[in-house]
Amino acid sequence: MISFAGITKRYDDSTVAVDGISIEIPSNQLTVLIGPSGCGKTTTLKMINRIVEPTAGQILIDGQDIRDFDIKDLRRSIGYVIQNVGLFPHMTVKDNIATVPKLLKWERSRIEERVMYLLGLVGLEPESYARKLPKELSGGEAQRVGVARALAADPPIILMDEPFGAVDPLTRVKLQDEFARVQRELHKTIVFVTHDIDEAIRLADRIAVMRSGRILQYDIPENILSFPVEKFVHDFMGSDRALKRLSRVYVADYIEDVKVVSISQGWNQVGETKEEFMWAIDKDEKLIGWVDVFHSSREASIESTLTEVAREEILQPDSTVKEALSRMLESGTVALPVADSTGKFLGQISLSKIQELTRSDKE
Amino acid sequence: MRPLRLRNLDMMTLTGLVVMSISISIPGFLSVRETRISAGLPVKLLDVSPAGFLFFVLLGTAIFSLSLTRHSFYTGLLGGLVPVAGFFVTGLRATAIAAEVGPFSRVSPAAGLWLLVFSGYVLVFGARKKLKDRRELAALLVLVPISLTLLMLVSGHLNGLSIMKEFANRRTRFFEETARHLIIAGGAVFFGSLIGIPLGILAKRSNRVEKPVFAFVNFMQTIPSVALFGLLIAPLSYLSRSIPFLRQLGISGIGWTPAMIALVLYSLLPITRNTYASLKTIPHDTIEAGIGMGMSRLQILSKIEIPMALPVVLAGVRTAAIQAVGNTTMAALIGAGGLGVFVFQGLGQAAMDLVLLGALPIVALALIVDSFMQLLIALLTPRGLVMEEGK
Repeated sequence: MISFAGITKRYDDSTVAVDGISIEIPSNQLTVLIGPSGCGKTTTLKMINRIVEPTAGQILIDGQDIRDFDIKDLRRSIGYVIQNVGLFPHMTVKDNIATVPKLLKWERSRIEERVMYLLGLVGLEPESYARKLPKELSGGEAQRVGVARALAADPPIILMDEPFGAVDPLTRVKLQDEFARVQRELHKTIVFVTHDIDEAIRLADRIAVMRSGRILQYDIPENILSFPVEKFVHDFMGSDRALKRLSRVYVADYIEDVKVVSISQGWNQVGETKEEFMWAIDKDEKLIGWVDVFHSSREASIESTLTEVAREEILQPDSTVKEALSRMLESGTVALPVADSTGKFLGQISLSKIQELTRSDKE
Repeated sequence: MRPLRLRNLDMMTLTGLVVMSISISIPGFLSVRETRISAGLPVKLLDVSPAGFLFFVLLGTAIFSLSLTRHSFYTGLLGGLVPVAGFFVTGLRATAIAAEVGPFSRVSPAAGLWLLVFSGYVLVFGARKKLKDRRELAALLVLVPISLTLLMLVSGHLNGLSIMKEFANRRTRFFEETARHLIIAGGAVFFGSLIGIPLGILAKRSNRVEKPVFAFVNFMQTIPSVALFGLLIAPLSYLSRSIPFLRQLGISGIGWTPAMIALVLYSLLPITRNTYASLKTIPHDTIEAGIGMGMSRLQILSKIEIPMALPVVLAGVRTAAIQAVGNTTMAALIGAGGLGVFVFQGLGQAAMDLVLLGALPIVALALIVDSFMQLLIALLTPRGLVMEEGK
């Protein structure tokens, strides 16, 4: 746990960047510091690895004042990812990632092994990327290397200062998803600075909303969205808070069990039903499309009345409900099928179910 | 075999070939004089050696065809052979031509041979530009013709030329002055780096130092070298007269002291400026990443700042070195010695070949220093910092 106790940072020209912050950042979770530019979020972050020294107050890591540690040891035990990646251009990807292990004088074979593992972890093919140079990487690849470098010596704490700020929106979402996966695996204590509210909601376990050097609200994302403490937080979250809440819930929790038709069997499996449409599966229970049960002639085979569903229209259990809703609006349907990564049909998610969810939230 | 395309022909190669054809056809390829200082008579290449003329026609054709295939390295290599062949032909025939005119007659290169050398330089330079990403090959293009020419000089092949006769009369002196020239120029660059690099670092670290430092080094660069030598004579001779210790060290108003001081001052601008610029271009993020990962101040310097800044700093040292080789010539005027001695003696006696005995080695030294520094920079530039074409 990282504790801030009455931390203030005042500069020589008497501007106050951080104004008496006291918060506790829980271990093994991802805490986002968010706010408009100049709110003091980056300064707060940089005080943890003592790049900025506070004017007053105390920062404790697991109960110990960070000033009690040797400054170099402290920094080597905290991973650091900065805004513009800051890769060393004159070193290969491998040497960049190996920076801290080398400072810690690890054995060569151990460093080698670690670098290869980390490249794989961040989704870069180890053999071909190890010897590349920063200038040969795309923006997204450089960010991945930046994350791998921060993880190099397996530090318990990682500080990230707008790590995905410099890449295009598409790549950013992809990097966020992959980073969320890595975090689910590693459970690091992460302090993450951003000004992108969607990014915060997507990744955070806890969010601290900052303004003018103070923390206005510090809570789990759901509570910040549902119960903003003041107008600024309310406005900062945007007018689409209801939609944003949906990006915190996953399709898996709202799958409805429905009757299906199997194309390997005849019409009599359907029997008497009030349903107009039914999802159709093959003999391996893989979803292949839907059948208009109401209008189709029972003379024709099920297969000939089938409307196929494209693979990208099928939702996965780890898709967000926001994504499900967006797809429904796009395709003009009221229900979408859910299947696992092998294509096995799991059920459907419907518009009425989503409405139920948002209504219950209000109460 | 790569395809021949006319659009592969570049302006540099074309210029080189045109200059080459002019040089082998104009009347004055060599010049013959009855005595060391009498007026010269022009001799055509066709009269010097018909076989040589034919050879150059063939060589020109070969270079033209190669340049159409984009074999830049081989185009440059043959281009470099143009002056070498020019000297070779001259060396073969010089003694015989001189004998035809009289017992004290002298043979010297005339406009034709110099143009031929120039055409070779243009051809090599054009090829080097295209070999930007292969700096080792580019350096080779200069080193090959120079070493072949040196080989001819050392082997005595060119002894029939007037300039070599001047050399033969001053053999010991020539080597002494060459050594002195190198020591003065090298010393100036050494001390210039010793002062200039820290000055650049200081200017980067502190805004207060930056302005006066650059005002000073820029101002120094604007003073003509002769004027600076002159300005130093009075204060230095005063110091030497009033402080015996300095006199014992050999410091006086004339000689190597003012020369060294002036040349060090000149070398400051390129070295200080490049050191400053190289540090300025290292992004703050890169340094902060290093600090954040727990590097010490010394590790930041040795692992990040020095490797990233070195190529640009060395480029400054290269400029300073080439400049120093040239400026040292003027040092002969205040009794510091160096190859300038022959230049000024020759001017005094109206003996052009003596002037050349000083001037040609200076040009050669400048080219050698340039190539050596380029090679050094290429070897010391980390792969990640090598700029690609068009970036």
